[in-house]
Amino acid sequence: MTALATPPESRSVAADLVADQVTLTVIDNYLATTCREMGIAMMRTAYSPMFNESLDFSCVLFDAKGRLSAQAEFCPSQIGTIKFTVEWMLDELGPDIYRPGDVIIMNDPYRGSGHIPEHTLLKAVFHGDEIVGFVANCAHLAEPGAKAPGGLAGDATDIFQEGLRIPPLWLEREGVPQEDVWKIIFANHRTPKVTYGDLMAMVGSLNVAERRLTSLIDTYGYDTVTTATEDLIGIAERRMSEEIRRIPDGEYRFSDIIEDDGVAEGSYVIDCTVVVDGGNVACDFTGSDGEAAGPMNATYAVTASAVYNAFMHITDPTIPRNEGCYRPINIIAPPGTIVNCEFPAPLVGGNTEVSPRITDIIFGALADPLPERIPASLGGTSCCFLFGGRHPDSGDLYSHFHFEGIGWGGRPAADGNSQIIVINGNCRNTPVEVFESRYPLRVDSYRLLEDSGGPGLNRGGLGIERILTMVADEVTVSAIFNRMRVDPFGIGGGKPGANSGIYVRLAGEEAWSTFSEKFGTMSPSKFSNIRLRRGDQVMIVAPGGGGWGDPLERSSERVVADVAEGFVTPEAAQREYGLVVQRRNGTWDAAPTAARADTGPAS
Amino acid sequence: MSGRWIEREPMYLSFDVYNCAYCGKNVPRHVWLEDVDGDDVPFCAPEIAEVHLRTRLRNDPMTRRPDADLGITEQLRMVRQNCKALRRD
Repeated sequence: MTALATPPESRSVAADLVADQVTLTVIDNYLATTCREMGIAMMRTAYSPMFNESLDFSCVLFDAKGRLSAQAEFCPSQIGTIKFTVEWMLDELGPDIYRPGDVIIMNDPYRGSGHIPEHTLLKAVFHGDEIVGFVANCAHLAEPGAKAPGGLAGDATDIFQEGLRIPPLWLEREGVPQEDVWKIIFANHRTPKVTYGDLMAMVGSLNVAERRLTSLIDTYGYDTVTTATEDLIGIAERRMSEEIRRIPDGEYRFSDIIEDDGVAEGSYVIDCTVVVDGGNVACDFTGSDGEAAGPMNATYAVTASAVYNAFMHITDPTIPRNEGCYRPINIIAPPGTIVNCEFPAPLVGGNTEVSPRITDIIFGALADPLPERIPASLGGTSCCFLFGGRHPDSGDLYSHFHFEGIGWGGRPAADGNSQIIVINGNCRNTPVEVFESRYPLRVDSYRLLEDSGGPGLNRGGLGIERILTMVADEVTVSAIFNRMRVDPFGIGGGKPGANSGIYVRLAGEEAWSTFSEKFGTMSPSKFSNIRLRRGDQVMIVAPGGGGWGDPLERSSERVVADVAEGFVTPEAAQREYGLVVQRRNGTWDAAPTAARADTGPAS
Repeated sequence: MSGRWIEREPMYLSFDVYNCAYCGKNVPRHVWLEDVDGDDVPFCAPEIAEVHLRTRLRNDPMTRRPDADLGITEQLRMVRQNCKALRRD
C-alpha cells in the first residue's frame, strides 16, 4: 500500500483535514485500486486486442457532486478527456434522471470525448435511495463504423466520416439492456460481435466498481467516505500547487508543427505560452493556427488532457489523481483553432497526433526553467495503422487499429526509452502472434532501427521498423502518421531523432514507395481505404526520440556500448559523437576525432 | 457588464455547441451570454466574461483605461474556479 506522501511544504494542511491520516490513506488506495480493478475486468473479459492487449481504456470514480474522486493510470489521453466527458454527461442529463442499474453510453467528441472510437459508459451508484457516486470507463472500440475500417480515416473531411456519433443514451435501464440502442450500434459497426464483447466488458467493469464503492460505504459510512474524498481532493490541489510553485514564475513559449492534415497541403503551427504564477499555471494556445481541413484537430478536452499529461510527467507521481490535481492547471484554447476545433470538423487524429505534440510543446516551453526535469521530444506519433476486410478463414469481417512504439526523448539523467507507445497512449502494441493468428497479416521483420535515436549526451530512444505481408486476397489499409517530415526535436544541444514513415511494396516489386507515389494519396502519412492484395507489403518506420545535451559530451564507453549493441553505427559514432569506433581482435576501442578533441578530454 | 444566464435544453435537431469566449471550453447547458458591442457572447461564467472584457480593454491601446488592469493571478483564480470543471461544490 502506498502511503500519502505529503511534502514538507504541505504538511501544515493536515490541520485542515477532517478525516484522520490512516483513514485517508486507506480510502485513497481503495478508490485507486477500484479503478485498477475496473481495468483488469475489462482486459480479461473483452473480445478485442484493443482492450486485452493494448489496454486502450481508462476508469474513473466520481462523487455524488460530480467531482472526479479517483482514476487509474491507464491511457493518459483518456485520463484527461474522461473528466470532461463525464462532466458533460452529468450536466446535459441533469441530476435527477438516474435509476439503479442504468448504464449510459456516449462517444461524441463535441461533448467532451477524445474522438469517436472512444466510448464512455457511466453508471450512478446508489446506497439505499441516494446516489452516492458515479462510476465510468472510457475505451477505444476497434470499430466505430467510420468510412475506414478501424475508424481512423486519415483523409476525413468532417466528423460524420469518423463513425457513429452517440449522444448520451441509455444502454441499460434498471439493468435491462435497451435493445433498440444496441441494434443501432451493431448495424453501424463492421464487427458487431467484437463491439458486443467489448461493451459488455465495460458494463462488467462498472458493476465491479459499483460493488466496491457500495462495500466501501458499508464499511466506513457515507459521511466518512464523502469527507475523506473532499479531503483528498483538497490535498491533491494543494500538492499540485506546491509542485507548480517550484517552477519559477514567468512566461515560457514554444511552438511546433503538425506537418499536414491528410486533406490539403500545408502545415499547422501549435503555439503555446505557459504562464506560471505562484501555484497556478495557464497554458494559452492563442496564436495557434486555425482548424485543419483534415482530421488533425483536437477538441478542448484533448488539448486539456495533453496539458495535464505534461504536468503529470514533471510533478510528484504520488499526488492523488482526482479533481484537485487538475485545478491549478488552466487551459486557454481559442475555438476554431487546431487545438479546439468546432463542430463538425474532423478530429480523429487529434487524439493520436496533436495530443503528443501538445505535451511536447509544454515540455519545450518548460525546458529553460526546469532543465533538470524536461526530456527532448519523443517520436510524437502514434503510427496509427488500420486494416480490415473479410477474413479468408472465417469469412467474418475484421477490423483492427494497430499503433507502433516509438523512441522517447533523451532525459536529463538517462537515454530515452526505445519502442514505447506514444506519451498519450500508455498502451501496448499488437503482438506478432495476434497479427498472425487473428488477422491475415504476416510479420516478416520487426527490429529496432539503428541511428534513429537523436544523438545527445543522453541519446534519444530508438524507433523501429516492421514489415507486414498481406496474406489475404484483399486487405484495406489506412494510416495516420506524423513526424514524417518534421524532426522530433533535441534539447540542450541534443540532435533530432529520425523521422517516421509508412511505405508500400506491391507483390513482385523491388522498391519501396510512399502511398502517395503508389496510390496518389494527398499525404504520404495520412490516408484511408487503400486496397492491398495478397503478397503486398507495408513497412512501418517508427521515429526515434530527440537527443538531450551535446553528443560530443557522451562518454566513449556509452558510445562504444551503443555501437556494440547495434543501436548506433560506426559511421554515426564518428559523425555525431566524434569517435572512431572499431572492433579489433574481439574487443571494441574508440579514438576521438578532432571535433571531439576540441570539446576537451573524452571521459 | 450586462449579460444573462441561459439554460439550454439539449439540442439534437441543430447541434450548436457554445464555447466560452475566454478559455474556449465547450459549455454544455448553463451558458452566460454577455453583451459585447451589441453581440451576445457566450462564457462559462460572468466572472470569466469580466476577465475577458478587462483583458481585452487592457490589451487594446485604443480602449485602455486605468482601471482595466487585472493581474494574472486574479485571472487564473477566476478561470480555475469557474471555467475548469463545472464543479458542483
